[in-house]
Amino acid sequence: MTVRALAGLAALQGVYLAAGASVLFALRGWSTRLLGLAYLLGVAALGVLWTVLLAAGVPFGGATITLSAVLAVAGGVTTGLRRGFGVELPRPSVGRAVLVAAAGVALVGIYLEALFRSARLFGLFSFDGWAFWVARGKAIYFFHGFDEQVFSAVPHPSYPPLVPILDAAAFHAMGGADVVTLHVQYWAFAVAFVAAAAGLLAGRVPAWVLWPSLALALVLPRMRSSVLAPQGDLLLDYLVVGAATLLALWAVDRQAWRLHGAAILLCGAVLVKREGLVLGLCVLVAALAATLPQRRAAWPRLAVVAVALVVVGLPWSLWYRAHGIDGELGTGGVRDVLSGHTADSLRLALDVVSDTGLWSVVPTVGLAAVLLAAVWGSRAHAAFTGVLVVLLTLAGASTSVIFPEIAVTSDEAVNPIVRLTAATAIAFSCLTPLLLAGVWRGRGAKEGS
Amino acid sequence: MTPGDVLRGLTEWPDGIRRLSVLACVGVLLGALVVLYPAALREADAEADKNAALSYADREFAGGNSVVADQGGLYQARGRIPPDGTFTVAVGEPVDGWTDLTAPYTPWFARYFLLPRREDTGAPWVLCYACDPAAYPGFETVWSGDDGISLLRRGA
Repeated sequence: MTVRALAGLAALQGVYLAAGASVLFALRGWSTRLLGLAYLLGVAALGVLWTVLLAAGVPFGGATITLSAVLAVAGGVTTGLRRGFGVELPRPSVGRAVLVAAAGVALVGIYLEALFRSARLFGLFSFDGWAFWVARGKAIYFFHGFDEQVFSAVPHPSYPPLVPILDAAAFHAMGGADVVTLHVQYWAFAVAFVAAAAGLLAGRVPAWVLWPSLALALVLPRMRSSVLAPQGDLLLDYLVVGAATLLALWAVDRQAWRLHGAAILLCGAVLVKREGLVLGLCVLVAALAATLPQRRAAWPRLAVVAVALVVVGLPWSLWYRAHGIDGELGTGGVRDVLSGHTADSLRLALDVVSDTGLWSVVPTVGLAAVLLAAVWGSRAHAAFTGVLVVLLTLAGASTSVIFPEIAVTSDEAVNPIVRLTAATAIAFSCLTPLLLAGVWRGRGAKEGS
Repeated sequence: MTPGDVLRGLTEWPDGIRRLSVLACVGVLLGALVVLYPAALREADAEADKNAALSYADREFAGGNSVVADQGGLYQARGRIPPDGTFTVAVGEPVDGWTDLTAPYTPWFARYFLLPRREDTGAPWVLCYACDPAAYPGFETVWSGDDGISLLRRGA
């Protein structure tokens, strides 16, 4: 709650941005338009690196944070220079499109400013926040690593540790376990996500199609209630949807850096929450569907990413098993999967996804956009989005199928289905503008025309 | 091009209808934004004001306020137990001033709030929530507050 804490946190955001910008430079060269994506890449890349280091027993503190960031920056810049990449500066432009984009940025900016004032002095009210997520973050901060006693005592001890590690990094940057100012970190994730989506889509989607969808995503009733919560749910969605947007674009233009960037984001997602692996695989299957005509070239690359997603979870998995912590497998059997419970879970998932009280018109317009794109726009994007939202909705239903003791209800204290289906709505928020832009241009027309 | 030409163009099949469909989708999104944005902005402003109006203690306890009853017990524990010390939480029968969450979740909140102090059943410090002090022979009460909460310490 002090200027010192805010300044420290701002410096940490600089670390994420510098590391991510260097990763991006190594992948494709630097572009100012991709600032938000660079930040998300930095969070994912450093989060994965720190998880591996902590699992190996390296003490986590200011020195580790600084050295790993320096390593990421040096490695990224060196690789980028060796590959001959340069710096792409924004081209000054004027016109109606710029005015519309400026209006969108202003609208989003005003709301984010209000959210910042709220985040700065936000108490840690969420039960999961203090009982689970931040308790583990404080343990990493105070004990400089994964602490067997605390990690065993909190619920779900085998849960992936990336978010608590990021919390611990924030505490180090702030100079103390300031759980109030910590909310500003989650505000920064939201800012970066909107910037990433805007940066990725701005060259392909007219501003008047893009900004209503992005601005609406931020003010959706369910987003409003959870955007500042220091929990992993929305960070997981930001990483998964960021990767999905990259892969949707990759499915059409096949620029390798998009696939590599998506792989980094999805590796981060795997270490954010247990369902990160499932959502990551959903994105990859959607990419398989979108690249069916080019399967010989595309599918082996997607298979490599799938392997990476499995491998990235191994260090944490090895750590918790070595410390006598069991993984949490499902309790349901084949009989449960084939029972009416599955049908009820699926029905509930559809109800939740289409609940206008949670997601407004986003899923409805998104579905319409998929159909329109299938007829008049990019079939690859339509296939990608259609398959992705179906799989994400099924993934939302899966918890109460795998764990049949969880009641089939949208009560968030009992069943996490609302949190799980958020990915569907957020994915629609980013992919709908892409689909509609393709429909507006018409099939066969070039992007930007 | 007159507005009439534009309108005629948008009703032509298929290109006009294709573009009209996009306009309709964006229009629906804009309509939802017009409805939701002002409410969201008001809500964020109100939330910021509410957070700013909280006392330091209420902001620090936040969700714990619905769990721990008298904040004094945990503040005393944090002030008296050294950072490398250990503690245990003993909870007895609920008393007036507790919520339904106090008995089951005070040990959870204490674990989070008192870090880096560790939990240990044989610890020299006992955060006592209406517990039976007789169950802790050799301990003295170093602080006693409201809602049946006290802090016990093993005597020298």
